Amino acid sequence: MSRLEVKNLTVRRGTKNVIEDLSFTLETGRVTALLGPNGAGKSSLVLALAGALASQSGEISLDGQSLFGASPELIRRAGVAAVPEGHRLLAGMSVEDNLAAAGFHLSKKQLGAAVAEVYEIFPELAGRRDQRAGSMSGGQQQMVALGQAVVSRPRFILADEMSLGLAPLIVTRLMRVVERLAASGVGILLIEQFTGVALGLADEAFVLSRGRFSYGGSPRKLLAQPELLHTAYLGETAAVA
Amino acid sequence: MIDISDLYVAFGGLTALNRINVKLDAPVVGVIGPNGAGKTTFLNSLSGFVRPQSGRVVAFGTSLLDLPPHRRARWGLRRSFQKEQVVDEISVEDNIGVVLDPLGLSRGEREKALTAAFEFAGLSGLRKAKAAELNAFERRMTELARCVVGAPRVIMLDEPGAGFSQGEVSRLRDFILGIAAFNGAMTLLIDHDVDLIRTVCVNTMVLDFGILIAHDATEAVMADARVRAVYLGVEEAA
Repeated sequence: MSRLEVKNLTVRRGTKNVIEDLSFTLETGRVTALLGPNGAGKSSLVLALAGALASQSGEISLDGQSLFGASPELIRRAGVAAVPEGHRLLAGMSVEDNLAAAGFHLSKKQLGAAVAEVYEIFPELAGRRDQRAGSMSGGQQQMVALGQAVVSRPRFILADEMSLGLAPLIVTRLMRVVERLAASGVGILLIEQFTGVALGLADEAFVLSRGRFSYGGSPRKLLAQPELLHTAYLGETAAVA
Repeated sequence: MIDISDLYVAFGGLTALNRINVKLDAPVVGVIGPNGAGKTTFLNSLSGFVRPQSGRVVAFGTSLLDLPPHRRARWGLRRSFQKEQVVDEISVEDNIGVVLDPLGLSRGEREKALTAAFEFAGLSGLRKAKAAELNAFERRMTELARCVVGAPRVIMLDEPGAGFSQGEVSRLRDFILGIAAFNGAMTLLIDHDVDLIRTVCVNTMVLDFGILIAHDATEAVMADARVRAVYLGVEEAA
């Protein structure tokens, strides 16, 4: 089992601390839901963990190895794959080349198997492997972005708005994929606008509000008590387990 | 009413919209379908980003496809985008006011239109703020305020709810429901939030592989076996 540990993390954007003294741990094989209103700091947290946004202070470590201040490439190699909000693909390149680019560190054989797995998850992409990524619909591009995370064979996937722009049918399918990935030992941080979907799947849930956790604990409890979720969204500490 | 006949769009060998015939006449019309079904292409055809190979679109008596895109905007066609198009470097007011610039309004008329739109969108306190300072939801509302300001006739929203929490979507819902009373415009709404579509769209059209597979009252559409199979992912009991 691997652990991605975050201790007392503070991330500043401009003059404002968007993440303030945050501590939590992700474990492989578990799904952790991260909820919270817009502007709470969820996307900043994902970017900071991915090394794409500098952190001010604190500690980020993977099985004891510090990733604080590490480059995005090193973090991805270490097994942490972020899917930032809004698909950022290589628009002029084909679907297949986009997937291959995400598996830059794999052998040819490993890459072939990983890409085949993406096509199994998203059969829609298999028929479009030679299509220019930028010419596809928004939802199809989101499938490629998620496919990129899967291809890199990560130990952890940090998915910011995983279902963004995807049809309900695909969202349902995707949640089964999340379950499957977790069962195969991948740790998943799930940021998801459809809170019911995320909470139904997660082993643990956090609500982030103004850079701090206002809830941490059982996702079932949040599902059963919507007023608790509402309070946490407003930033009032509901219950920090 | 928007009367669409024989609308056909192909990109190379790919048929994106296959001879769409539909009459849209509800205050808010939903446009749903699987990813890549042609929903955004449908809006792009109306707005002018895409030039259809054939077809006619007559909106409230005006043949839209005969107008260049900027004339469609001046006529009263507005839209928002999947990735919001807000300009960071200028104020919220300038982001919204830009669509009024070509209309030749008097200072007083312009001020009145802006004030009403700011109030309607709940952005009054942010009027002079620089857009770069806004959070994601405020940016989305800025784009929507730009869609409703003045006297638009048709407003097209491309996944405005994507990425927002339930509380925010509920504010969005009130906003969209209020558009017809605010300025009389008709709204076409693409979104994957089925609950949002159900609660704001009187009628809904469904595209699948560029083909119109349903257009009816929203509840009837959601109960349609084919729509359930290709879009909602609900399998019928055998």
